[in-house]
Amino acid sequence: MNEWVVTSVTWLNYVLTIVLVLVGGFFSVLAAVGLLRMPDVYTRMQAATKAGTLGVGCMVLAVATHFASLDVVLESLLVIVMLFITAPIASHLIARAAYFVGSPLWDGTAYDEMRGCYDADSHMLHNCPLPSQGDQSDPRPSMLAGRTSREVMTDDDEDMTPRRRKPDASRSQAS
Amino acid sequence: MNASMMLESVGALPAQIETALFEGPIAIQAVLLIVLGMLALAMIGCLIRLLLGPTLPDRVVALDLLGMFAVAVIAIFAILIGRPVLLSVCLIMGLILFLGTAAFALYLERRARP
Repeated sequence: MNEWVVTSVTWLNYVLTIVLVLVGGFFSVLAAVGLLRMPDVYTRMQAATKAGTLGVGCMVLAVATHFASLDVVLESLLVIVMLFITAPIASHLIARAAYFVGSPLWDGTAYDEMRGCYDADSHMLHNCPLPSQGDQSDPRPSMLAGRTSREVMTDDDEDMTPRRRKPDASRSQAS
Repeated sequence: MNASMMLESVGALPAQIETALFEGPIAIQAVLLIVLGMLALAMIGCLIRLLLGPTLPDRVVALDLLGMFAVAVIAIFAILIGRPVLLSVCLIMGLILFLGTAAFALYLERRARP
């Protein structure tokens, strides 16, 4: 009975390690494909950061399941926590820097929420109200003006209108 | 028969390195070698994006992902050669990667300031 338990736990250990390593490799390849195929800095960044973090996290978790001892598990959990804290911060920093450098948006970008919200001199966010619904000409200045072939924000697309909630309706529902 | 014998028969390892390099059951070793190949493919993709990225933030993102894959390769080797000490290398490498990316981002943003 005891021997059977030890054997089954060992096999479970092997299967868990193999599955975690394979999932990690799959997500790593997916991150690289997203980095190669996405059209834009920002979309490339979201593919690379999320899938890459998940892949590397699965592989470090596979190390924890393979050496099933307390110190290895604690250290690998430390690695995973550090990875999951620092990866979003790093990608946020690169995205902000890319927006300030003015790397071009994709032509099919529906809505640039940060348009005109940053002060170009001080790089600080200032209060910017959303333009009214159906406003064809956005008076706010764009940091990316003249960098895309199409206009960055077009309001005539029907499929992007549900994304912008009306602030009055949501507040009345909440209260 | 283990994975170092397999590699030696292919010719990837010299004959002086005996079977002491890799440890563990053969199924795990085979899967780990396959995943190392997948990671090599992913790193080649990152390298292509690093070479032909149109703007500098593209290259910084590609470099970040390349460093994360290097952390993954070190984790795989920790299983493959049976030494969990390499997790410390993963930890330090992740920290240095974050510092490098943050430094690149700060440099880019300072350069964009008029």
